[in-house]
Amino acid sequence: MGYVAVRGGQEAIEESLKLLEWERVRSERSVDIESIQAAFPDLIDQIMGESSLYAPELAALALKQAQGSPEEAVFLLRAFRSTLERPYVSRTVEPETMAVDRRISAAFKDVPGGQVLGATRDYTHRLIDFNLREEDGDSLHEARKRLKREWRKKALGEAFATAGSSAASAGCEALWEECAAHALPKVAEYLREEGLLVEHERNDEEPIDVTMEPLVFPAPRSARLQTLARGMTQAVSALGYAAIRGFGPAHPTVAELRHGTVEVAIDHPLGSGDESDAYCVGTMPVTEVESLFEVETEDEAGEKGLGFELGYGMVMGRGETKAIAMSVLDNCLERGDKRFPTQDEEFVLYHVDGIEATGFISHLKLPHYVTFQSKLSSVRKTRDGAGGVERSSTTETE
Amino acid sequence: MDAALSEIHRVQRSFRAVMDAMARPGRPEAMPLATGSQTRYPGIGKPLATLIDMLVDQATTFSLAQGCDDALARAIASETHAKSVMPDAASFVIVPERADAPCIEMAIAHATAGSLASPEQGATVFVGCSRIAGQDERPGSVDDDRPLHWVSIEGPGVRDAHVFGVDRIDWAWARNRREDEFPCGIDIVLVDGRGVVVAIPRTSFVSLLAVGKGVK
Amino acid sequence: MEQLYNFAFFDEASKREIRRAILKGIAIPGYQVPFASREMPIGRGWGTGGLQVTLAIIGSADVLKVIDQGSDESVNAVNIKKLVCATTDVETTSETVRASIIQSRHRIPEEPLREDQVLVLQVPTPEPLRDFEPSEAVTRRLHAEADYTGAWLGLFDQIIRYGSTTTGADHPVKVNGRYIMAPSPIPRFDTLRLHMSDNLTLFGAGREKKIYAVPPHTTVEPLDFADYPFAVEDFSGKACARCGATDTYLDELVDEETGDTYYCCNDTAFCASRVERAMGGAVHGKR
Repeated sequence: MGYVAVRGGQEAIEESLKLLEWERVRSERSVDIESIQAAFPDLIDQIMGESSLYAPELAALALKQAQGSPEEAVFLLRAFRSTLERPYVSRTVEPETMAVDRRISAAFKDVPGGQVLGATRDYTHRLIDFNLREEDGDSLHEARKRLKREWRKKALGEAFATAGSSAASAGCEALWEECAAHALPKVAEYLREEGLLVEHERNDEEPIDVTMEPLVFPAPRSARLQTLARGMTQAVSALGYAAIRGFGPAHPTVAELRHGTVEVAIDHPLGSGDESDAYCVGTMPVTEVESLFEVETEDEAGEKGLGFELGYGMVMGRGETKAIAMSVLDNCLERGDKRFPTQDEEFVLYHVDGIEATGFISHLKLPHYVTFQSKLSSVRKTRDGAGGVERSSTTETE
Repeated sequence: MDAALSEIHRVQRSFRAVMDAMARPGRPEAMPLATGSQTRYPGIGKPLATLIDMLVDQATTFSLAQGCDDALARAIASETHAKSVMPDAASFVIVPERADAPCIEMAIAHATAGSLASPEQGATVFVGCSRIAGQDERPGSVDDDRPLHWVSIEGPGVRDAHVFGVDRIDWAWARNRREDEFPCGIDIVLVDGRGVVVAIPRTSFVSLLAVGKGVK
Repeated sequence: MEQLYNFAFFDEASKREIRRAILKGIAIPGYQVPFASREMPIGRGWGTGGLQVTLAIIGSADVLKVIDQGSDESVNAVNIKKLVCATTDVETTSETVRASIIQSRHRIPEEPLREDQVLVLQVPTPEPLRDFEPSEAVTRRLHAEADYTGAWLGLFDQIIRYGSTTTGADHPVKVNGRYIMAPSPIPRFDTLRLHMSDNLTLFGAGREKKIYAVPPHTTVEPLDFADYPFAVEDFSGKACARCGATDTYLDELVDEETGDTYYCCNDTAFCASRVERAMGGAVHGKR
């Protein structure tokens, strides 16, 4: 008999899995989970962020299993997340308390607390470093030692200059380990105090968890922010780019981008609900962005003026581009002018999810021959006239 | 098989009984009940407790028929983490067997019908009964002295008519007085002391045939 | 890692949520109940809606049949069956009569279903009004107001342009006289079999996060016009090359050697049982 599509599925799948396994093992080279975590922290951050699950070790494992495909790793982690109950909801995390290790403002040259450039690839030359080809554990160890020595010397020098005494050396060890990690005031506060930010009533609505409740439109802001935060990194960036290039509001200014760690705390189930009774369950690295958009305002007297609205972005780890794009899209969705696709919440929120996008696009690989046969029947009917006349055998073989 | 796993299986079988009951309104289905005695919810039996554990949790809200003590509401809130709310805001309305006619009247009258945009928000009302009997059950097999009301159900899920007997009929009067317009409405699940359930979704037409120990 | 996964994959809270949606779906025939839709270990768009429904209802006493495009052996059907088995250990079958739950993509089995069987259909696009209205907020309002002018106009437009309605699979239906519903991409041939069926049919759309249902003995009417009545796919004059059936949905195939077109039953299990009966028990495929 001729071609019968996708029969013998059981054996086909088994053989396909063997081939896939072959692709994975044939090099006979392995990499352990710790090495993946150590070598690809940004990728791990991206995977955890898109998965809505902070679990670096599992993310590394997923990445290994996925043979380095981030979309596949996110898929694994999200499916695993589905099997977990959510027994507690954390206390609100206040980003003012973030232990900041990088913090920049594009709006002001100097901000209270100062600019902290921190670790960034922004000012590197994108030249392939061929030395890395030869790098091994020993050379990493050497490089690490070299940096530590340099910082210690510098810290000591500064301590002598300020304290002028050798007693300062005792605190140095901790100083360079801690780097600049400390809490800093928010840049936006400065503008708010001056009355330049458009005033909004405080919104203390319980946030929606879109992984536990269906998304409804108009979506509450919490649902929008969560959907953007777990959106596909490149999709959020692309839509954010479209919004500032011409399909949305004009060029925003980054009031502040900060990276650091925040504490996550939960209330004692039988406790008073007071902050002092809460348990810290851990810390999490995040990037937070607040962008400024110029808007027209009107005061009570009907006097027109200009002010600023904030767009908000926060992602796990170091996804800075995504966090900025998220802040742009947040502002777009607040405006909600549906002439711009980037301001149409259904357009944005339905299409940034990586699992949904890749799932539906890849489902086109599934056989569709029942539906196609049905469509063929309809198409042939329109060709043969309204009556749906029997096709002759000649048209069949044409 | 460990206890937790066998409980998962039992809940699944109970759910299927409720699902079958909802798909075939007016036809009694038997839920398997947990072994041992039910002590977590004061004042109600295992069958109603089974329904609560099966469907009510922190993502939902509930309301107890008036006249029921606070201890039960507190127990449901702490066991399921569902929030106890006013009857017109609850996704589940719970009427224990001991609730009298005015209580059930109030509970059903105030239950939310959902909205045209979200008719699924119409309440599910659990009503505890003492005895539910199938159409085929002989009059003699009804050991209880209380007479049964024989009810006929028509609508989606029913080919001709499903007939069942139940010891209380106050829910039907209260339901008829609501005048909901489909797709809005409430979905009632009756449960008796043995764990037999009958569902009367909003699509059903209810008529009372007779009162007596057996049909006809 | 395997022991980390629960019976039927989900935690019990996830099952409760899906079960609540199923009950409301049955209570409001044809209405799409929103649900959170968990992330599944198979692709979104590959049957995650059907899979979530199946996992929320399945138990150890069930016998499961999974078909994709009419075939039990199709890779995706096998894959879904494998996942359900790995997490539940239920018995599977390809015989429709033996199954208590039948999960299917794009077909209703030829064998009439009984009242003790549940059909779970996978749905890619649950919104029948999506063709002319991209916004979910708007289509929800249209359903709320039973404003189905757009759906009728769409069919009318097809008749004006092409002389007949040109819907392929997934021809819109009206359920219980109220909701217009996408019956999932089953061919028009299968659409009428939802009408007043003995079995319960559940629809799961994972990516679009909707669950809906057609209870047994519920009216399901395809949208059509009196002068342009609903017509199923035309297989007149054709028969299955394997079992000879003339009353089934057929796949159109090409013989590689002769280049001729021939037809076979799309429902492979049904075809095989017919052949088996004809051959007195032995299963043969035409070579």
